Amino acid sequence: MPKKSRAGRGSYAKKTKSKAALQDQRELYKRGVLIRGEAGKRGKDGKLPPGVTHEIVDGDVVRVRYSMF
Amino acid sequence: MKNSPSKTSSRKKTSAKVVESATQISTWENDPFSQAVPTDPPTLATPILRPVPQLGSTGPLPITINEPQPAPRQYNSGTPEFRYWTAAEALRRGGDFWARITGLGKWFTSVGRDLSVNLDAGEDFNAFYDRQNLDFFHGSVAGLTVFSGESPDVVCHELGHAVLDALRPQLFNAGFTETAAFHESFGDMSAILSALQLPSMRQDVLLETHGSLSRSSSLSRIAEQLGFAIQKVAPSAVEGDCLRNAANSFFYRDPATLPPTAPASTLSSEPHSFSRIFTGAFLDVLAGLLSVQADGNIPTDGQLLQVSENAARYLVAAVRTAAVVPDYYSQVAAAMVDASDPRDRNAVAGGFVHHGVLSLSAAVTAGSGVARVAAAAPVKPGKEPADLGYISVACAEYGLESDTLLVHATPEPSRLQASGAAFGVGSVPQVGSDKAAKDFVEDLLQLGRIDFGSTKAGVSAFAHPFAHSRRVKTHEIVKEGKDLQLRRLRFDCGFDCGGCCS
Repeated sequence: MPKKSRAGRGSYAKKTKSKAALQDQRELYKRGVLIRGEAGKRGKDGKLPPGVTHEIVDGDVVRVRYSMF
Repeated sequence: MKNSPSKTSSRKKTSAKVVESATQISTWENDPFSQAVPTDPPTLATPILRPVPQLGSTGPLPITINEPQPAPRQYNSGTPEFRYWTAAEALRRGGDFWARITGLGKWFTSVGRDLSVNLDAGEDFNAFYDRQNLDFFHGSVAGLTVFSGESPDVVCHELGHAVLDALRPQLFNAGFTETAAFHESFGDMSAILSALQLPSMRQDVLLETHGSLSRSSSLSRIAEQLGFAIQKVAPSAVEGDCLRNAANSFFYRDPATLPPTAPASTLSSEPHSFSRIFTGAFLDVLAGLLSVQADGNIPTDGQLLQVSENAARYLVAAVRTAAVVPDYYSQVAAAMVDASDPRDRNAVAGGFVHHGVLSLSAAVTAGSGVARVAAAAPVKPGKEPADLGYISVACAEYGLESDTLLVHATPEPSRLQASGAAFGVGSVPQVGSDKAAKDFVEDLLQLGRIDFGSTKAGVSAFAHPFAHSRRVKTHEIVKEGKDLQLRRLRFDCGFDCGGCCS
């Protein structure tokens, strides 16, 4: 059924574009976190450096806490 | 001291004090440096008396402070005991408020049954929520030691993170600027709404603002003392008289177009900085809701309390329904409009439109109860030779009584070849006069500067924080035959001063 097929392709294209846009947003967010020095690794005591809100895990940044400032 | 008991004989006084020590503690209202009119340097606020908070684990959203609990008494400020009870009172007040509004009984799973609080986790000018604890710190600067846990503003901000995490855990690590910024905004909204649960705070802010809640006040200024301390070490990082001020004029921008950091005077995509847009809009929503409640009269303490509850309920309903997407702000705002009582809808939409969180057309769509009249209007030339000629601006999306609006905007020939700089590379493309006129009209609508008279269709029905005064309207829309025309009433200074412009 051609109509259904076209709708399917459109939907797939939209989904793909949306995923790419989401990825862009995430990259932007990650870059901001790194530029501002909000990401760090845990010390031997298991604690994060002061002011750090994200932990670097396998090259990604993972939120561990929210700060007041 | 506010709410101090009247003097009695020494014997009676002793006896009264024994009773007081069991029922009331001394605490800051919302910050140690909270002032009606900020001074430089700031002075300590006057403590207030509050009932002894019951932190125990029996009620909803239980909280435990890890430091030993001192006997409940009215301690002097500057003592560890005073700090303990100030934090405990703010935590319980905020926790009780949010438990009542959200219906939540439990924290996010990793927090456990009780939200654990460390009042002094070391040296820092900061405070944290990490899905296990609330951590507060101390730091010294300019001969002053600041304890972040001593500020009810800071305490209720951090508590707000924990509440939002219990309400919508998907937001915690969503990885978008707007979701992270919304978390910060929710913290500041939590500080504002929790402060409004204090009768003394409501009375103070009504006096300070003359009932116009969108003005800068001890309510809108968040964390004055921590802001003071941070300003000493990083002068451009915070506002002049507090950490952040909800009474601001920041207008929505795509965070992708903003720098990752910037001085406090400008916007950046850093979440605390970007949060100020939503918090500013929320304060305007509160102001609009209060105007609706007061219905042309001087607002009362009871009405302000009701407004704080209504706004919080709309906010929570919106958080529950809005999709977690990169453009989260507009999703929450539209959901708040949708969740609000029909009587309040225009006030909610107006606050978000004023800060650009919702576009005018999005606000009209969100408040779908607004009627549209789809009669087209022909372009007519202007009558006054001193004015530019009229051009017809398409405005169907604003839901006015006509799909076009006549605006004085037919351009004169250009005298200089010039254009603004683009955020990326090169120049901003030259804008056609029709677009410039449309931009101008839209700015006036967003800023609430148009007097619609008796018209109540579409965007004209939105309540605006400045809507109480015709003096701050710079333009009016009048009907000329079948046409709507935009006319200037006056120029103003843009500061809602209510007196200097004419």
